[in-house]
This record gives sequence, C-alpha cells and structure tokens, in this order.
Amino acid sequence: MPNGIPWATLNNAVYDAARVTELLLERYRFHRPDDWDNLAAINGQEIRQYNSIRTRCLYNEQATRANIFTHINAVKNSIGEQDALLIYFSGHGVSRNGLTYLVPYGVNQEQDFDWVNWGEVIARFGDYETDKKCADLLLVLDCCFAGTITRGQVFSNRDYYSRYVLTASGSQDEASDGPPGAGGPFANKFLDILTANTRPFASMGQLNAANALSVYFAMNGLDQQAHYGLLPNVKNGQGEFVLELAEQNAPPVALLGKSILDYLDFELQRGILSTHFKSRYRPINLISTFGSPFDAHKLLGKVLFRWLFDEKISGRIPLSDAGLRYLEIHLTKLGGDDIWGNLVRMLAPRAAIRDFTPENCVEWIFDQVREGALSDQSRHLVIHFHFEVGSTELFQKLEQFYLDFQTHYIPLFQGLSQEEKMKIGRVFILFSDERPEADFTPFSPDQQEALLQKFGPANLNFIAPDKIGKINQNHIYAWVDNTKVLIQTNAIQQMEPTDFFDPFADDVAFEIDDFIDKIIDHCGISAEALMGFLFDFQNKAVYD
Amino acid sequence: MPPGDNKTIGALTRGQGLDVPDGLKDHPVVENYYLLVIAVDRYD
Repeated sequence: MPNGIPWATLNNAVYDAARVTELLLERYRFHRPDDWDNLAAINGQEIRQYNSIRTRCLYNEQATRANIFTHINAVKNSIGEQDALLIYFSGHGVSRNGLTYLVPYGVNQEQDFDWVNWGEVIARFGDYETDKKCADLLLVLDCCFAGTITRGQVFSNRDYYSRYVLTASGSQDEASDGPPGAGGPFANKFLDILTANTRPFASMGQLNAANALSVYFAMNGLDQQAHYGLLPNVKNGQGEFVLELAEQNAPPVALLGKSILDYLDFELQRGILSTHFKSRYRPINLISTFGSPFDAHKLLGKVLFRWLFDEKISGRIPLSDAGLRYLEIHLTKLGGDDIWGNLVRMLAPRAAIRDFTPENCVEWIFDQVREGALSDQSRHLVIHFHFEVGSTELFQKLEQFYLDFQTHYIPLFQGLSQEEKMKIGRVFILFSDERPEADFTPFSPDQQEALLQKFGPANLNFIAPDKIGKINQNHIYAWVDNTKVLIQTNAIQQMEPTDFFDPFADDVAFEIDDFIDKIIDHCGISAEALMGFLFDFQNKAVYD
Repeated sequence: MPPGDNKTIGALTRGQGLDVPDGLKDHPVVENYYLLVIAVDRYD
C-alpha cells in the first residue's frame, strides 16, 4: 500500500459479517456452499470465508476493489430473473460529494480513486426491465455515513422487482464498531431481528428493522440512526427483498393447535368434565358455557370433545371415521330466540323437513344418529346454540326447547335394541352465553338438579364447565415449556414466555382469544389456518 | 410477473397454514438467493 494516512483498524467487522452469514445460511433459504476457507476464529466464532457464486465472503485481504467487482460481475452474469441478491458490508464507509463509498482492503485515506462507489455496484443491476437480472437487490451497510446513499430521486414502476438499502447510520452519523469481542451494535441487533423472526416470508419493512435498530441505538446511547428504503437514482419496481425462512423453521399449524388445546390451562375444565360426565351410554349431553367471546366457547367445546373422544382413555365415547356433525346456531335478538325455527332452517337444506313440528325435527335428528348405528359407525351430532343477548324469557325458551327435544327423543331411543343403544351416535347440545357480564351458567346448580329430576338423570349428562378464565403468566410459562417438547422447529425452540408479555408488568391477564392472537403473531402462522384447526369439529383427524 | 401467477408467494403457500401478509401474496417467489458479504477490519 502506498504511503498515506491509514484507515483505523476496526474491532468487529469480520466477526459481525461471519455471524450474519451463518445465521442467513442456517435460518434462511440462502445457499450453503461446500467450498470455504477457515480463517482464524474470532471470539470463539468460526470464520468461514465461503467461496461460491451464490454465497461469497470477501474478508480483509480478499476484499479488494478488484475482487469485489470481479465477483459482482460474475453474479451479474449468473443471476436470474427471479433471483435475489443481498450484499452485506461492514467496514469503513465514506460520504463525499453526495456519493457513498465502501473502503476496500489495501487502500489508504488518500486513495479515493480506489474506493468503491456504491453507485457503480448498483448500476450493474440498474435496468431490470431490459436485462431481467436480479429481481430483488438489498444492500445492508454497517458503516459510517451510509445514509447518504438514500438521498436522491426514487423511480418506481409497476413491475415486481426492487432495489432497497438498510443502513446502520444516517448521512452525518458515524456507526459504532463496538468494543472488541462484543460485536457491533448494528450487527448485534440485526441478528436479534433475524433470529426472532418467525414469519415464513418477511421483508425488512415488515420486520420494522430500521425502527428497531434506531431504538436500540438510542437505548445504548449511540448517536446513529438506521434507515431503510428504496435506493434512489435507479429504476425500482413494486417488489421488496423478501427473506424466506428455511422450511424447518416454520411451526406446523396442527401441532401448534394441539399444543393450545392440550396445554393452555384447561385442566380445571377437564376436571369438571370428568366429574359431570357420568356415562357414555346416555344418549344426550347438555353442555352449558358462559361469560366470554364465542371463539373461547368454541375452543372450550373443542377441548371437551377431545377429552370425550380420547380413545386412549377407556370409557369415553368412540369417534367414528365419519367424525361429528356440527351445527352452529346464533340466537340473535331479532327473532333469534325462535329456537326450533332456527334449528329447522339449519337442517332444512339437508333434511327437507316438511310440515315442520318439533316432533318430526327430532325424528330426523334421531334417524341421522341412528343411521350411523345401523352401519356400525357411530355418528355424533353437535348442536351449538350461542347468544350474546340473554333474558329470563330466552332461558325459559331454552329450557322448553330442551324439554321438547327430550320428550320426543327419549321414547325413540327407548325403542332401540340394547345393541343399537350402545352403537347409536350421541347428541350434544351446547348453550353458550357470550355476555361478558355473565358470571353464572344459564342453568344454575338448582336448575340443573331440577332438569335432571324432570327428565331423568339416566338419559342425560349435564356438563357445566367453569367460566373460561384469563391466561396469566404461569399459564404462559407452562404452555411454552410443553410446546417446546411437542414442536422441534427453531421458531418454537427459541420462544420464551416473555415474548408474550411485559415481564415488568404487575399483572398479566389475557383473554384466551387475545393470547391466541399473540401466538399467531409470534409464530408467523396463518390465523385462518390455526382457527380452521381449532374450530374444525367435524374432521376426525383433528381429534387424534 | 403479473399477480395471480402460480409462482407468487400467495400461490405457493396457499393451504399450508402459513401467515403471509397481503402485501407479499402477489410477490414472485425468489428462485435462488445470492449473498455477498464484504467485511474489512484491517487495512494494512
């Protein structure tokens, strides 16, 4: 190197770059080459200098201006129309006359002609519409004055491609290198963000990376700000560089659903169920739940059915291959308390019940569950009434409905042979009171007793679970522990209870549906898919 | 690539129970990721 003012040695540039590289190769869908040089370990971190066209590391002596452009030109020749390129740089950066430079290895402070102008690099990928090379480009610049690169005019059109930059500093900021061995602040936080992400597809914008980095800098007393945005002075499209998790990192929805049903504090409810559920041979099961949003009632219903159909525990109700038939009936204020009318409207498209009476409606239902019995395939029926407007009159109508139902149903059941009685499907009638102020079951203990006396206890299991409680800190600790045993993906293994609540909060109490929303958000899974699993009552597979 | 093409993230992930934000559903799936990492802490 010619005489001149040398650049100061940095503490963590290669160490940071190696850690970021390993994380990207391990956790995301980048290509891990077979070819690399082992450099001297730093702080116990193995330093692999990968050497392939798709993953290349240029550290210190390798990071010359000539090597950088040789590799970029090679990438330009190789990269395809639907490929994406991430360029990560840590080292000295310079801003001069509105341009942003990377300082490569082997130059001093006077050799500005040998610095690498980022504009030259970007220009290699400057006309996607013509050359169809590199759909998405993302520069990640951990160096001083990097924000200068964001200055200029942004051009954007409708095609799906993108040129973006994430910087560790603004145009006037020096970027902290961090003490030796501690890692640079930018890389430390960037690694946190990439490690915590559980979304299968995510952009830096969706990860809110620049804001998270800037907050982290401020909290650590650093006078630097991260920036993220479109690169100016180059054609841009509507796309964005999208990181994709490697497949093994995404938690499977069905297992996550089972972990919620099995481990999210339903022990009290299962205890009540085991007390109230007297016999699997009783043809009718009446279940009354109260005091929470409908999703929570459905969740509780699913927990109860999982318990009832658990074939590993003797004495429960066997579930046929056909699964359940589940009817959901919302009793609204305006005429919704016409309970029989609602039920018939729900059944009519299937049953074509003519000349409706409660009696022929019950006969149709009886035939449905008996049909299963005749084919030696028990088919159970669930009728789930729910309402958010309650009244004494409605409760009286519910009671009358049940009285009518049993009055017509039990004689039909009594007419079966003993063998058929064993095999016939069971009827489950759920009443869910969604009123948030409801703090007692619509059927009080006295009412329950009266019902049992009136209809005959031998025909009925009356199950009244407790109010669905809130999820507290202890529940979350237990759920996280159990879920880590059940699901081996990285996203779950790296999950901590405090990911879900503020550890400094005095009191932690989530409604159960709010907590499930947090799980969905944290694990990056589809709300639709998880709810689809949790609230699928019909498919036998969801009970296994 | 026009929205709705079967190489979009939305099409790739449909029915798999993955959470894909609406803004990414029409985004084409990346075929190959390229990574270039440059780091210099010694300028001797």
